[in-house]
Amino acid sequence: MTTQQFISPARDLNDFWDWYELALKEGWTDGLPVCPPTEERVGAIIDYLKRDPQEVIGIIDPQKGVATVEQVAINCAMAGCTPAMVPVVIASIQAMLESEFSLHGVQCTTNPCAPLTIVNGPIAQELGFNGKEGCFGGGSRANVTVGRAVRLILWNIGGGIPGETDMATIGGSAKLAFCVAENESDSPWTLLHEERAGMSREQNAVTVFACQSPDPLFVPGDSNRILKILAASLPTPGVNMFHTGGQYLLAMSSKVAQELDRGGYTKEALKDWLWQNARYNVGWMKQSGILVEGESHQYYWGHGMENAPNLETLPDSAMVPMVGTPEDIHILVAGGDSQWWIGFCAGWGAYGGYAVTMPIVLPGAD
Amino acid sequence: MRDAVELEKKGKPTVTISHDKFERASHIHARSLGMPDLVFLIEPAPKGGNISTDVKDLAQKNIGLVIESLTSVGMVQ
Repeated sequence: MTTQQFISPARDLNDFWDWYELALKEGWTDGLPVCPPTEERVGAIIDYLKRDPQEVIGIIDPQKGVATVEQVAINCAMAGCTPAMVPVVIASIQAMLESEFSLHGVQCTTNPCAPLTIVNGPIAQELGFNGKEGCFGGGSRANVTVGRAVRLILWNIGGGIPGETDMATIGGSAKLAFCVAENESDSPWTLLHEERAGMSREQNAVTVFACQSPDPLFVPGDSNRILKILAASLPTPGVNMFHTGGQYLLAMSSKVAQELDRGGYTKEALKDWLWQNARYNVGWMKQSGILVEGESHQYYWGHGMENAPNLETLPDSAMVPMVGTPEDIHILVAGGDSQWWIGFCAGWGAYGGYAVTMPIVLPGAD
Repeated sequence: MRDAVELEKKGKPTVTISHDKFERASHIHARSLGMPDLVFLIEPAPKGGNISTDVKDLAQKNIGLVIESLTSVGMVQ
């Protein structure tokens, strides 16, 4: 075990239940049980990382907590991560510290978005991340504990506490743990990290994106029928795209992705098609009651975005895109081939939470 | 709020207007940003079917309080 000295104080406790009660009392968990971060478990992580425990990884908003290697290791141990999973957590946190992710806002917004971590590269298979059936649910230690570690870091170091700094009006279960792998082996397309960062399939990366839990859409049939259903289903007025554009993610089961590929759609062609066809109709917005004369400049499409159209001057027949450009639509192959499902993950809007891709740096590689 | 903190650091007095629903969050943010004495003007959040905030009415109603705040220390309720 590490010979490095830890700063965090040790406590003598009788059993797991004493630990759990202490963790609740001290506010170290959001309610779910957490593993005791013993000196042995934390030391094993630090030994694996081969990093100074007091090295600073970043400053976590809104509390401006200092995320040292030791603090991150403690939260990873509490989440139940193996040491080999911790570089994935560190890459996720570093990606969330990029300005376009706007972590302070993501932590504090009234929107129920949560930071999603998507894992690409050989490490996904090596560590048992799931990108196939049930990948957004439980069943994979890697998915759940990496997602959980990110949550605990944002909770304990960042101070994203509901009702205090996290003002999410209804919240969401994705905040508890939100991590998935891309289904690389069944994807017909360029993988997410290849497309976004020019990386190779042999490189490991995470992509983080602040979004809501997947809203399941059933899209049976050939590519034309799938696209027609998407064009009718995606532009609903209640999601934040209607309010303020931003970005959204479609998690396509491999069955759907392969059908679209057979129909001749590359990822780029698919994004273009969706941007051109999955649009809000101004007349329908008025009929639905979401667009009210005199309010559109404050509350409806394009709020906070440059070059947003003035909805009050557009005819009822006008069609308004959900997001600013086709590049603001993210396509992920996630899920198996058991049925025709797509997960629609609405983003936070133009305020931030934008997707960021970051390489996973393994110990000794930097 | 970050703008207010940056302005205060440059010696420019500020008043940050916040809804009452965000009063607690505002103070926590002020503390975490190293400026616990940041001056706030706390306004009730719009209620009922009124989703709009009339900025002109808000400004006219509170101009006196804003001036008072800019020339004093602490919170104006």
